[in-house]
Amino acid sequence: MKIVGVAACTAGIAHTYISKEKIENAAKKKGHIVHIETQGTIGIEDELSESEIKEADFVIIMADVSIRGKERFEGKKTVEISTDVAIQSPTKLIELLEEKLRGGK
Amino acid sequence: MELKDIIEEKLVFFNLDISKKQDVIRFAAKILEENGYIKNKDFFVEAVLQREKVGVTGIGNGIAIPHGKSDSVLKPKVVAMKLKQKIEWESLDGKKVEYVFLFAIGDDPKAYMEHLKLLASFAGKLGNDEKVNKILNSTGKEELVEIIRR
Repeated sequence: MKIVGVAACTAGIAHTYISKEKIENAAKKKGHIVHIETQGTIGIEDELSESEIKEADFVIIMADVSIRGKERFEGKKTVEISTDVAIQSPTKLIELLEEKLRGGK
Repeated sequence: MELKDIIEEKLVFFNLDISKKQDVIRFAAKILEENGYIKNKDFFVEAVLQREKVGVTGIGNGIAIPHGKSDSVLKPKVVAMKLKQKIEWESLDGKKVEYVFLFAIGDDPKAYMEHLKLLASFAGKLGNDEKVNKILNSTGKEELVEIIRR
Protein backbone atom coordinates (compact mmCIF):
# COMPACT_ATOMS: atom_id res chain seq x y z
CA MET A 1 0.00 0.00 0.00
CA LYS A 2 1.23 3.48 -0.81
CA ILE A 3 0.33 6.11 1.73
CA VAL A 4 0.88 9.85 1.68
CA GLY A 5 -0.17 12.35 4.28
CA VAL A 6 0.13 15.69 5.99
CA ALA A 7 0.74 16.35 9.68
CA ALA A 8 -0.15 19.72 11.23
CA CYS A 9 -0.76 20.36 14.91
CA THR A 10 -1.81 23.50 16.79
CA ALA A 11 1.51 24.85 18.02
CA GLY A 12 3.29 23.33 15.08
CA ILE A 13 6.39 22.13 16.86
CA ALA A 14 5.75 18.93 18.75
CA HIS A 15 2.75 16.79 17.86
CA THR A 16 3.31 17.44 14.15
CA TYR A 17 6.69 15.68 14.11
CA ILE A 18 5.79 13.01 16.63
CA SER A 19 2.75 11.95 14.61
CA LYS A 20 4.80 11.88 11.39
CA GLU A 21 7.41 9.62 13.01
CA LYS A 22 4.80 7.29 14.50
CA ILE A 23 2.76 6.85 11.32
CA GLU A 24 5.81 6.42 9.11
CA ASN A 25 7.27 3.79 11.44
CA ALA A 26 3.98 1.92 11.80
CA ALA A 27 3.42 1.85 8.05
CA LYS A 28 6.98 0.81 7.21
CA LYS A 29 6.84 -1.98 9.78
CA LYS A 30 3.95 -3.45 7.84
CA GLY A 31 5.80 -3.16 4.58
CA HIS A 32 4.02 -0.15 3.13
CA ILE A 33 5.49 2.82 1.32
CA VAL A 34 4.76 5.99 3.20
CA HIS A 35 5.59 9.69 2.97
CA ILE A 36 4.28 12.29 5.36
CA GLU A 37 4.62 16.02 4.76
CA THR A 38 4.75 18.29 7.79
CA GLN A 39 3.25 21.74 8.05
CA GLY A 40 4.60 23.31 11.20
CA THR A 41 5.98 26.51 12.64
CA ILE A 42 9.10 26.10 10.53
CA GLY A 43 7.05 25.81 7.37
CA ILE A 44 6.45 22.90 5.02
CA GLU A 45 8.99 20.11 5.18
CA ASP A 46 9.20 16.86 3.24
CA GLU A 47 6.71 18.19 0.72
CA LEU A 48 4.81 15.57 -1.22
CA SER A 49 5.43 15.35 -4.95
CA GLU A 50 2.64 15.26 -7.51
CA SER A 51 3.55 11.74 -8.61
CA GLU A 52 3.56 10.45 -5.02
CA ILE A 53 0.06 11.79 -4.51
CA LYS A 54 -1.08 10.37 -7.84
CA GLU A 55 0.18 6.86 -6.96
CA ALA A 56 -1.03 6.86 -3.37
CA ASP A 57 -3.73 4.42 -2.32
CA PHE A 58 -4.61 6.50 0.71
CA VAL A 59 -4.13 9.99 2.07
CA ILE A 60 -3.89 10.51 5.83
CA ILE A 61 -4.48 14.02 7.12
CA MET A 62 -3.42 14.28 10.77
CA ALA A 63 -4.28 17.80 11.67
CA ASP A 64 -5.65 19.96 14.43
CA VAL A 65 -5.67 23.01 12.18
CA SER A 66 -6.60 23.49 8.51
CA ILE A 67 -3.86 22.36 6.19
CA ARG A 68 -2.46 24.03 3.11
CA GLY A 69 -2.92 22.47 -0.27
CA LYS A 70 -5.79 20.18 0.60
CA GLU A 71 -6.97 20.44 -3.00
CA ARG A 72 -4.02 18.23 -3.99
CA PHE A 73 -5.92 15.28 -2.57
CA GLU A 74 -9.20 15.78 -4.36
CA GLY A 75 -10.65 12.50 -5.51
CA LYS A 76 -8.31 10.40 -3.35
CA LYS A 77 -9.37 8.06 -0.55
CA THR A 78 -8.68 10.22 2.50
CA VAL A 79 -8.74 9.70 6.25
CA GLU A 80 -8.80 12.77 8.47
CA ILE A 81 -7.82 12.48 12.13
CA SER A 82 -6.28 14.53 14.91
CA THR A 83 -2.55 14.26 15.64
CA ASP A 84 -3.49 12.75 19.02
CA VAL A 85 -5.14 9.75 17.36
CA ALA A 86 -2.13 9.25 15.09
CA ILE A 87 0.24 9.36 18.06
CA GLN A 88 -1.83 7.07 20.21
CA SER A 89 -2.80 4.35 17.75
CA PRO A 90 -0.67 4.50 14.61
CA THR A 91 -0.75 0.74 14.02
CA LYS A 92 -4.52 0.52 14.38
CA LEU A 93 -4.86 3.32 11.88
CA ILE A 94 -2.68 1.53 9.33
CA GLU A 95 -4.66 -1.67 9.90
CA LEU A 96 -7.85 0.26 9.31
CA LEU A 97 -6.53 1.46 5.96
CA GLU A 98 -5.47 -2.08 5.05
CA GLU A 99 -8.97 -3.28 5.81
CA LYS A 100 -10.58 -0.54 3.75
CA LEU A 101 -8.33 -1.32 0.82
CA ARG A 102 -9.14 -5.03 1.02
CA GLY A 103 -12.84 -4.37 1.34
CA GLY A 104 -12.73 -2.02 -1.61
CA LYS A 105 -14.68 0.57 0.37
CA MET B 1 23.99 24.19 15.16
CA GLU B 2 23.38 20.86 16.86
CA LEU B 3 20.88 19.25 19.18
CA LYS B 4 23.16 19.91 22.11
CA ASP B 5 22.75 23.63 21.52
CA ILE B 6 19.07 23.49 22.41
CA ILE B 7 19.32 20.68 24.96
CA GLU B 8 21.91 21.95 27.38
CA GLU B 9 23.18 19.87 30.29
CA LYS B 10 22.15 22.53 32.75
CA LEU B 11 18.58 22.17 31.47
CA VAL B 12 18.41 18.43 32.21
CA PHE B 13 17.16 17.25 35.60
CA PHE B 14 17.08 13.73 36.98
CA ASN B 15 14.92 12.58 39.90
CA LEU B 16 13.24 15.94 40.25
CA ASP B 17 11.09 15.85 43.35
CA ILE B 18 7.99 17.70 42.12
CA SER B 19 4.60 16.08 42.24
CA LYS B 20 2.19 18.46 40.52
CA LYS B 21 2.03 19.23 36.81
CA GLN B 22 1.73 23.01 37.28
CA ASP B 23 4.73 23.03 39.60
CA VAL B 24 6.80 21.13 37.04
CA ILE B 25 5.93 23.73 34.43
CA ARG B 26 6.70 26.60 36.83
CA PHE B 27 10.02 25.03 37.76
CA ALA B 28 11.07 24.75 34.14
CA ALA B 29 10.03 28.35 33.50
CA LYS B 30 12.06 29.54 36.48
CA ILE B 31 15.15 27.76 35.20
CA LEU B 32 14.72 29.25 31.74
CA GLU B 33 14.31 32.76 33.15
CA GLU B 34 17.33 32.37 35.42
CA ASN B 35 19.40 31.44 32.40
CA GLY B 36 18.15 34.36 30.35
CA TYR B 37 16.28 32.23 27.83
CA ILE B 38 12.89 33.74 28.60
CA LYS B 39 12.01 37.29 29.60
CA ASN B 40 9.16 36.68 31.99
CA LYS B 41 8.40 33.31 33.53
CA ASP B 42 4.79 34.16 34.37
CA PHE B 43 3.92 35.05 30.78
CA PHE B 44 5.65 31.93 29.59
CA VAL B 45 3.85 29.69 32.11
CA GLU B 46 0.58 31.23 30.93
CA ALA B 47 1.42 30.27 27.33
CA VAL B 48 2.16 26.70 28.37
CA LEU B 49 -1.05 26.42 30.36
CA GLN B 50 -3.04 27.82 27.43
CA ARG B 51 -1.64 25.08 25.23
CA GLU B 52 -2.56 22.52 27.90
CA LYS B 53 -6.18 23.63 27.58
CA VAL B 54 -6.14 23.07 23.82
CA GLY B 55 -5.04 19.45 23.95
CA VAL B 56 -3.30 16.66 25.74
CA THR B 57 0.49 16.78 26.02
CA GLY B 58 1.00 13.39 27.63
CA ILE B 59 1.89 11.39 24.53
CA GLY B 60 1.92 8.01 26.23
CA ASN B 61 4.54 5.79 27.83
CA GLY B 62 4.98 8.21 30.72
CA ILE B 63 6.22 11.07 28.55
CA ALA B 64 4.81 14.58 28.36
CA ILE B 65 5.71 17.39 25.97
CA PRO B 66 4.25 20.62 27.34
CA HIS B 67 5.16 23.62 25.20
CA GLY B 68 4.77 27.35 25.20
CA LYS B 69 4.90 29.69 22.24
CA SER B 70 5.45 33.20 23.50
CA ASP B 71 7.25 36.41 22.65
CA SER B 72 8.68 36.05 26.13
CA VAL B 73 10.93 33.34 24.73
CA LEU B 74 14.32 34.73 23.75
CA LYS B 75 15.91 31.44 22.71
CA PRO B 76 14.16 28.16 21.82
CA LYS B 77 15.20 25.50 24.32
CA VAL B 78 14.13 22.18 25.82
CA VAL B 79 14.05 21.53 29.56
CA ALA B 80 14.25 17.78 30.17
CA MET B 81 13.04 16.50 33.52
CA LYS B 82 12.94 12.97 34.85
CA LEU B 83 10.68 13.08 37.88
CA LYS B 84 11.32 11.20 41.11
CA GLN B 85 7.86 9.70 40.98
CA LYS B 86 5.15 9.35 38.32
CA ILE B 87 2.60 12.14 38.47
CA GLU B 88 -0.87 12.92 37.24
CA TRP B 89 -0.84 14.43 33.76
CA GLU B 90 -3.49 14.22 31.04
CA SER B 91 -2.22 11.53 28.66
CA LEU B 92 -3.30 9.79 25.50
CA ASP B 93 -2.93 6.40 27.19
CA GLY B 94 -4.33 7.47 30.57
CA LYS B 95 -1.06 6.62 32.35
CA LYS B 96 0.92 8.82 34.72
CA VAL B 97 3.95 10.76 33.56
CA GLU B 98 7.58 10.39 34.58
CA TYR B 99 9.50 12.26 31.85
CA VAL B 100 8.67 15.81 30.94
CA PHE B 101 10.21 17.60 27.98
CA LEU B 102 9.16 21.22 28.02
CA PHE B 103 9.67 23.16 24.79
CA ALA B 104 10.10 26.94 24.85
CA ILE B 105 9.25 28.36 21.43
CA GLY B 106 9.53 31.93 20.23
CA ASP B 107 6.82 33.79 18.36
CA ASP B 108 8.97 34.70 15.41
CA PRO B 109 9.93 31.53 13.54
CA LYS B 110 12.23 33.33 11.16
CA ALA B 111 14.44 34.58 13.99
CA TYR B 112 15.44 31.13 15.17
CA MET B 113 14.76 28.85 12.24
CA GLU B 114 17.78 26.61 12.90
CA HIS B 115 16.83 26.15 16.56
CA LEU B 116 13.23 25.38 15.69
CA LYS B 117 14.30 22.81 13.13
CA LEU B 118 16.32 21.09 15.82
CA LEU B 119 13.39 21.25 18.23
CA ALA B 120 11.22 19.68 15.55
CA SER B 121 13.70 16.88 14.93
CA PHE B 122 13.93 16.22 18.67
CA ALA B 123 10.14 16.04 18.85
CA GLY B 124 10.18 13.52 16.03
CA LYS B 125 12.57 11.34 18.03
CA LEU B 126 10.01 11.18 20.80
CA GLY B 127 7.78 9.38 18.32
CA ASN B 128 10.40 6.69 17.78
CA ASP B 129 9.82 3.60 19.94
CA GLU B 130 13.49 2.66 20.13
CA LYS B 131 14.50 6.13 21.30
CA VAL B 132 11.67 6.25 23.80
CA ASN B 133 12.72 2.91 25.27
CA LYS B 134 16.26 4.17 25.76
CA ILE B 135 14.93 7.27 27.52
CA LEU B 136 12.65 5.24 29.77
CA ASN B 137 15.53 2.97 30.76
CA SER B 138 18.05 5.70 31.52
CA THR B 139 19.54 5.44 34.98
CA GLY B 140 21.12 8.81 35.54
CA LYS B 141 21.45 12.41 34.36
CA GLU B 142 24.56 11.82 32.27
CA GLU B 143 23.00 8.88 30.49
CA LEU B 144 19.79 10.80 29.80
CA VAL B 145 21.75 13.78 28.48
CA GLU B 146 23.68 11.48 26.18
CA ILE B 147 20.55 9.75 24.86
CA ILE B 148 18.52 12.86 24.11
CA ARG B 149 21.35 14.75 22.47
CA ARG B 150 21.92 12.16 19.76
